[in-house]
Amino acid sequence: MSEEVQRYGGGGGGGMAALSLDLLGQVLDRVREPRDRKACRLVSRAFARAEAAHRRALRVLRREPLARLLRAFRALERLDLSACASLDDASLAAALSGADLAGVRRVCLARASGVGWRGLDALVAACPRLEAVDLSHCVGAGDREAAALAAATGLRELSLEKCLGVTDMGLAKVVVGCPRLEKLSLKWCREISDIGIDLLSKKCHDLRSLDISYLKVGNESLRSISSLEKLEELAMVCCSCIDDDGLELLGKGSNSLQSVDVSRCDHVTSQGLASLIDGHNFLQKLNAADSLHEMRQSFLSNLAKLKDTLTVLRLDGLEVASSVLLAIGGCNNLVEIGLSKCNGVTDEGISSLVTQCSHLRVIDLTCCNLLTNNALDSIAENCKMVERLRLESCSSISEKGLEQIATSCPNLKEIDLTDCGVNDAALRHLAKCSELLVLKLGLCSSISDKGLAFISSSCGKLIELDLYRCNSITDDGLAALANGCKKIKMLNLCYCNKITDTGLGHLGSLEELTNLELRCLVRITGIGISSVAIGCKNLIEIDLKRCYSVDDAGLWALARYALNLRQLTISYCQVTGLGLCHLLSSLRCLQDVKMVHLSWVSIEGFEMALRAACGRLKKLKMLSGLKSVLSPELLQMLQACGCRIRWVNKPLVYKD
Amino acid sequence: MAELVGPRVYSCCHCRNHVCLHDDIISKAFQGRNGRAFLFSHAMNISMGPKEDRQLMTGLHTVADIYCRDCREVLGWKYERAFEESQKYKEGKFIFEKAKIVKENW
Repeated sequence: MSEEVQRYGGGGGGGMAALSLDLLGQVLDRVREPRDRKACRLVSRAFARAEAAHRRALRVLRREPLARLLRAFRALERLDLSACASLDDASLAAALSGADLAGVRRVCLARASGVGWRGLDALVAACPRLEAVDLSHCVGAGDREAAALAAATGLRELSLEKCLGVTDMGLAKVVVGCPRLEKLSLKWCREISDIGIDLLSKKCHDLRSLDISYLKVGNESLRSISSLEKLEELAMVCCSCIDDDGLELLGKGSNSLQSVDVSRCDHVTSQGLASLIDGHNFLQKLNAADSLHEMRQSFLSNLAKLKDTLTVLRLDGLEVASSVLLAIGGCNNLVEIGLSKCNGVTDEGISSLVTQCSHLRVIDLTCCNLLTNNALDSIAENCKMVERLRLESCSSISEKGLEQIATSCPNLKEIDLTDCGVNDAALRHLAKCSELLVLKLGLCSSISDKGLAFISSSCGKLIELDLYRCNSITDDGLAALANGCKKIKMLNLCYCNKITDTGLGHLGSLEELTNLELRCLVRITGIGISSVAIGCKNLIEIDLKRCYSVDDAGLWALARYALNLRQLTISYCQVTGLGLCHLLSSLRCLQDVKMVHLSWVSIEGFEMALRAACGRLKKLKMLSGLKSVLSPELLQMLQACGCRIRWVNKPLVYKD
Repeated sequence: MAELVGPRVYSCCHCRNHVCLHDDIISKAFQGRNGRAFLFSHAMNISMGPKEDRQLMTGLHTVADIYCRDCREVLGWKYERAFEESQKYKEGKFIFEKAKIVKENW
C-alpha cells in the first residue's frame, strides 16, 4: 500500500491516470484494518472516491451525518446503526429517502430504541434486497414493528430478541410475509405462545436456526418444531415449561439437528436428552448447563452414539463422578468441554477425559476446586491445541502446573486464573505464550509489577487484561504494559489502589484502548483522566466509581477529548452540577451513564444535565431518592426518547 | 412503556430456587469455604442453621450457615456478630459462595 502512495505522492497526475478508479478500489478493498482504510481515504480525492465507491460496510455513530453518508456510499451491503446516538423514525426515514440503497442486505438496529414502525417501513421500502435485520433489544418494539418488517419478503435472518411487545399476532405477520426465513431469534419475547410457534413451523420450512429461549412455550411447541426438516440449531435456554416429553417429541422429528441448547431448563433430565440423541445422532453441539441434576446411564450410553460428531458439550453445574468423565471421553472429537461449577471433578477424572480427547481447544473448569497441578499436567500432555482455559477459583494450582501448560500449549489464546492465587513466577512461564489474547488475573494479590513485566516482554498480541484487585500493581507495572502490550483494548484495574496519575499517564499511549475500569482508584485525579482521554482516542467505556479524588476537572477532560465515549460510571465522584452538565451536553455519543450518589450535584444540576442529553441517553442509573424530586416532565421526556432508568437504593458508604 | 424483565436473580445451583438479587451485592471480594464468595445485603428462600463462633480470615465472627429452603444445599453463611469494630458492617449480611449460585434470568 505504501508503495502505491509513494508513486502518486509527488505532484502531476501521470501515475494516477494509469490506474483506473476501479482497480484502485479493488486494491483498497484488500485493506482490512479500519484505521488503515481511513488513512487511505485521506491520501487524495481520487483515493477517497475510490474507497467510497467500493465501501461495503458502514457503521454510523451520530444521527447528523447519516443522510450524507448514505448518499456517499453506493455499494453498501451492510449498515450498522446500533450505535447511532438519538436515531429516531423521522431522521431515519429522511436519511433513507435520498439514498440509493439497492445493494443493502444486512441492517443492524440493535438497541435503537428510538426507531419504530415508521422508520422500519421506510427501511423496508428503501432496501428491496434486505436479507437480514437485527432489531434486538428494542424493548419497545411490538407487533406493529413486526408487521413493518413482514413487508421484506426476501428476509432470511431476523432477530427480535428482547422485543418485548411482539406477540403471536406480530410473529404471524412476519411468518406469512417472510416465508424464506432461515434464522430467527425470539429470545425473551415472552408474549409468544405455542400457537405462534406452530404457525412458524407450518410456514417457514427453510428455517435452519431458531432461538426460543426464555419463552413460556411448552412441549406442544417442540411437537411443531419437530416438523421442520432443515432445522440445524435450536436454543431453548430457561424454557421451564419444556420437559422430557417435549424432548422425546423433538427426537421423533427429522434427523437434522446439529446444535441444541437446553441450559437452565429445570424440568429437563438426562433421560429426555437421551431420547433426543436417539433421534438426532448427528448432533455436534449440546449445551445442558445448569439444567441436569444427575446423570443417568441411558444418557451416557447414547452419548457414545455421538462419538464421531460431538464437538461441544457443556454440563455446567452437574455432579460428576470420574466414571462420567471417562464415558464422555469416548467422544474423541470433542473440541469444547464445559464443567464449570461441577461438583466432584478430580484430577483422575480430567485425566481420563483428556487422554481420549486430544483435540480439545476450549476447557472450562471454573470452580472445580479439587483440581491440582496434576490436572494441568494431563491437559498439557494430551491437549496441545488448547486455546481457551478457564480455571477461575481452582485455588490448588500453582506456577508448576502453568509451566507445563505454557511449554506444551503454544496456541493458548485465553486463560482465566481469577482467584487462583497465582504469582509472578507463573507469569514468567505464561510469557512463553506469545499468542495470548486474553489474560484474567483477578484477585491474584501476589501479582506485582515484576509479573507484568514478564507478560509485557513477549505477549504483544494481548487484547484483554483483567487485574481486578491485584493491589500490588503500581505505576511502574503500567509503564511496562504500555511499552509491550500496545494492542490492549480492555483493561480492568479496579481496586489497584496504588495507581496514581503517573500510571494513567502511561496508559495514554495505548491507542487501541476501548474499555477501562478504574473503580476505587482513590489517588487518581483529573490529571490522570486527561492523559487517558487525550491519548486513548478510541475510548468507549470508562468506569470511575468511587474514584473519590476525581472532580469536575476529570469530567472536563472527558468532555473535551473522549469524543467516542458511550458508557460512563461516575458514582461517588466529587463532581458538581456544572461539570456534569458540561459533560452531558458535549459528548454526543454518550448513551449509558451510571451516577449514583453524586452528593455535590444539586437537583437543578441534574435537571439541566439530563435535559441537555435527553435525546441521546439510553440507560441511566440513579439514586431512587431522585425519582420523586426530578420534574415529571423530564422523566417523561427521557422515557419518550427511549431511555431506561434504573433507580437504586444504595446506602452511602465509603470504601477503600 | 412496559416494565422490563425484573431484577437480576441468582438461584441455588442445585434446585434453581431464587435466593438473592444481583443489585443486593455489597462486595465481590470475599472468600468462602472453597473459593470466591459475594457479600449480599439480603437473601430469600433460605433457612438458617445454628449460630456458632468461627475464626475466619478477618477475625472471630458469630455466623450461621444458610441453606436453600427447598433442597437444603449449603450456600454460604450469615454474619450474626462481628467482634472487631472494622468488621461490624457485615452484621446481618449474607455470604453466598460463587460456586453455589447461578444466574437465573440474565
